[in-house]
Amino acid sequence: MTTFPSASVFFQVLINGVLLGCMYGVAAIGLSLIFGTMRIIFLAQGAVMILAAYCIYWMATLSPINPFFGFLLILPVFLGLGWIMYKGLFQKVAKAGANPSLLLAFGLMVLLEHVMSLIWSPTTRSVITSTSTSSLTLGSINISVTRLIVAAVALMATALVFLFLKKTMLGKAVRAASEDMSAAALLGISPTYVSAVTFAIGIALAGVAGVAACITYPFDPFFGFLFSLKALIAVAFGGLGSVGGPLVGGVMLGVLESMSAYTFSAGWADAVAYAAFLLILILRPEGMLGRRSIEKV
Amino acid sequence: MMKKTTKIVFLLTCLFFLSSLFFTMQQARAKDKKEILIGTHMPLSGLGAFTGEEQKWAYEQAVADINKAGGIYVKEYGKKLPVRLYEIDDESNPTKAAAAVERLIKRVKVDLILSGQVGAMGVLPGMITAEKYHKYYHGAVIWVPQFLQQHFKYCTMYFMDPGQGAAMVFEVWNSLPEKDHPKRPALFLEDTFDGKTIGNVMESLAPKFGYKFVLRLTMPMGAKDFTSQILKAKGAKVDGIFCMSNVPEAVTLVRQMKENRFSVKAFQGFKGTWPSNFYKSLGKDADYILCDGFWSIDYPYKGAKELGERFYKDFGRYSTNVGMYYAVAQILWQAIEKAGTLDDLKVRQAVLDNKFETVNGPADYDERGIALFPLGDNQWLNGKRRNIYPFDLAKYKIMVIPPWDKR
Amino acid sequence: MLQEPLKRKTHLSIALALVFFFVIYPLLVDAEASYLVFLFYTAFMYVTLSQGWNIAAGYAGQVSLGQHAFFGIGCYVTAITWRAGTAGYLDPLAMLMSGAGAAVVAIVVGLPLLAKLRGDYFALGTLGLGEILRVAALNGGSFTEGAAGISIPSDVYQSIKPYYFIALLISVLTMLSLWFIAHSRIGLALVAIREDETAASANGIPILRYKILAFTLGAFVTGLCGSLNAYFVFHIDTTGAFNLNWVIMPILMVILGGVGTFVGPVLGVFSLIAAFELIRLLTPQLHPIFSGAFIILVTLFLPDGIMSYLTGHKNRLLHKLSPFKWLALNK
Repeated sequence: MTTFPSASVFFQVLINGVLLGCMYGVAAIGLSLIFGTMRIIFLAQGAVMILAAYCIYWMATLSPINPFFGFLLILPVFLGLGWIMYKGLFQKVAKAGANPSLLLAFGLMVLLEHVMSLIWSPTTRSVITSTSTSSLTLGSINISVTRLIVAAVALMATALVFLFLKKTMLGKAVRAASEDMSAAALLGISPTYVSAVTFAIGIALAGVAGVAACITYPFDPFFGFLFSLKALIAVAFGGLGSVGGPLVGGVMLGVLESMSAYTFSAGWADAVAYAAFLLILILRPEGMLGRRSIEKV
Repeated sequence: MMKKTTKIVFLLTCLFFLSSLFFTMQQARAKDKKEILIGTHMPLSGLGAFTGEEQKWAYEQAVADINKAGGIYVKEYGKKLPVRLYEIDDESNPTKAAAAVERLIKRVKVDLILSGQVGAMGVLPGMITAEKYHKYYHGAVIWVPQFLQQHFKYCTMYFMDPGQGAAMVFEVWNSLPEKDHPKRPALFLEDTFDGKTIGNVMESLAPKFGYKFVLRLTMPMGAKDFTSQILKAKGAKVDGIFCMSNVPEAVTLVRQMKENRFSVKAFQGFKGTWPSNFYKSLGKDADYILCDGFWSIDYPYKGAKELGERFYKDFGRYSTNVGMYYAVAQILWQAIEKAGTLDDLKVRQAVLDNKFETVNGPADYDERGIALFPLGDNQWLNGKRRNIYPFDLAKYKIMVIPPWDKR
Repeated sequence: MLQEPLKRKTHLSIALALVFFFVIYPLLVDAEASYLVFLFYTAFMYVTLSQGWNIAAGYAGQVSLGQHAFFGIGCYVTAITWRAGTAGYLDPLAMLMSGAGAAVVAIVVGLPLLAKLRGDYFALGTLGLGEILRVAALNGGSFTEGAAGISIPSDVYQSIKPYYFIALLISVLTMLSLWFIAHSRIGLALVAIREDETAASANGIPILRYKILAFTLGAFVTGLCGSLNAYFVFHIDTTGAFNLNWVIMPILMVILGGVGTFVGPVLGVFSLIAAFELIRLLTPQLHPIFSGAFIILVTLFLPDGIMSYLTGHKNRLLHKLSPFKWLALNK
């Protein structure tokens, strides 16, 4: 056990945890959305993230475009990609049940990982930006500029998805479908259309998370799976199927990890995170923010 | 209801697949000897993939070179035989490495096996499997204690002793001006076999060289935030770092050290700091960092410079490893010729009995089947690795890392 | 589920013939040099692992993503007792202990998880269990020897035959117990739980007890496999023992064969292994890409598994699996 020698160290660890958590959060929102309407655990989320990371890497090495523009560029491209993925792969399989969908997601993950390592080779890559290692200093606390940008993007992405679900007709349809698909179908909402839209948004969010990851960390084709796992935990923390929940869940996970890495040992940080995850599952299966009604029978 | 014909077609296809499996196995049986079939498994995907790429290249060069010279003369057959290399990707997974060696021996029916990669992830399971079926495994990249634990009779190893690596680090630090010796060094170790082993040896050897580690910190595989570790080190006034990790962790650590304005006088990295992508990922921030190397293009041995340039031509970067893998193959080629046969035990005996000339210097095995070579140490500067150790071969001298705000 | 006696007889004779073939095969060929013997050994392991998952997931509807935890426990119990000298080489007692160790953990963890969690939450919880145990073994000090792992001298190894027969025996016993369970009151209770937990509970079925029974049995046989694996690889560390492959591969095989069926998983195991081998024959370098593509193709064209294709029945069980219950789109 190490205790915090001063308040500033405590805040430094806390802020780092929050910033790290925002990264998990972006990855988790897409996962949660897809789960909400389609009831599948989209294991390939991490692999899709890394695909976006490689696209940015390519863009940054081959052209003088600033990697930060990647956020704007990736969004439409991955929306399209998500749409195609749903129409080409998941629409048919989803009808057969959620189990094959899980398998399909797994197959997609394996395929993407190895195609990426074939195209870009399995060596570690990274994208250097103008802010790569710069930091702001507040008193004795240092805050990474890149991670601050990532946190801002995470907040913006959450807000956008939230607005979309609350304010637009399509968003309302998505929400209705995620509450009760058959009732929504009775109201004239086309389930496939809604699912395709949700899936596309989920993939686009994975793309955004990928851009965020690649400007912060070095990556390789197999880097994504760990993100998938962490995002899964973040989703469980926040409650399956909600929007704000995963972001809060991600932040909780990030804080928990960096706090336990400081006070215990970094080697135990993952175990602490998983244990908290199990506890929350058992005590509050609907997540810290979820509504009680979901799993009541 | 499924049509009966489709069902029959399906069953027939299955039957065809299964029978072709049997058939190809028959085919693989040895005919009369036209070539030497060498099998190898390496991590071409998964965590260790960044090393597998260079190993593959080096082995393939060694095979091409020996075939250009007409092959290896094997007395038993009275002629020169060309070498064919059969490679399997073990996906950096110990279970798959063991299965890969099973395939090499039983399906591909290779004559001898060239080493895989990275200790417990590949080489150790590979060796254990080869030992079961009495196949000679010409090994490398495994620590001595790990190798000795298993009492191998069909394996040899060409690598280094962890103590040798640790001693090198301290000798290099001691070659700094007296006032710049790290007074309060810390260990940053990944939680793998390699990390724990080298960490223990570093700690136990430190007093002999006048050092004492004030902290021992873990870097879990795949972790993305090392701020906690950095804050602890900063709090303990650490001024020197020894870090054993993979590339992503090493890059993240250095980036976050800069973000947290944490400067040290010396940063010795093992494994994670030598790949060119470490420098590419960090740019100038990687300057002055030390990286281990199993070999250097600057070595005065025959073929070293030429091999390094060839690698540069293919990849556009320099390597501190390919020479070591190339040497492993060179030793095997020479041993086969000296043994005059492909018999597993006789080839192994030839490896033990003879001295070999390689691009990585002379190699001499002891009776346990171990050959050690001197580890190299390099310092990054302006995108180049400057060889600073072994002192008698090195062209450059180590420099102290200037603090972040003075760079 | 009910079959005419005549059909049953043919099935039984096919099963007996197959087992007979597997028993004599290694005696007919040079077992040490035969790659097929090794492949069969691997296949038997996966049959056991697959059915170990299938019993809880397929029959009782409790999808576990933590089978690698039980496999790892099996590996470590064997390696630790072996290192301490309390167990010998291929010691049946140590193997039973390994299975029991996994079963005990399954009960201890299963009680709160199965009582509280339903569906996806249970799946996620078991995934967490596997990761916690992996990290614990990694930080286990001299007891688990941490990242270094436990190494046992491999010079006791003599032949692959004992491994082959033990793996065969375990898989046959697993199949037999699954058969008896599926055709007993327990099996009916399990299916009732899967179909509708509330109704089952209302009809007086002690659901928690049955769920735990299925989960524990699956853990026990998985632990046995882990133990055998420890004897086979002679070096146990967290990367090998708690590898996610030990949960992913069996699930793939069961889904490929047919979830909640008796023969399906066996077909799944053999066809997946055969397919991967064939792909390796064609291209030794690219095969991970092909395995990904293969999985995608299967899910696109055989989403209900081979069994449903062969019998012509849509695998209705799959749709009713509570964890991933599909919200009846096409109703």
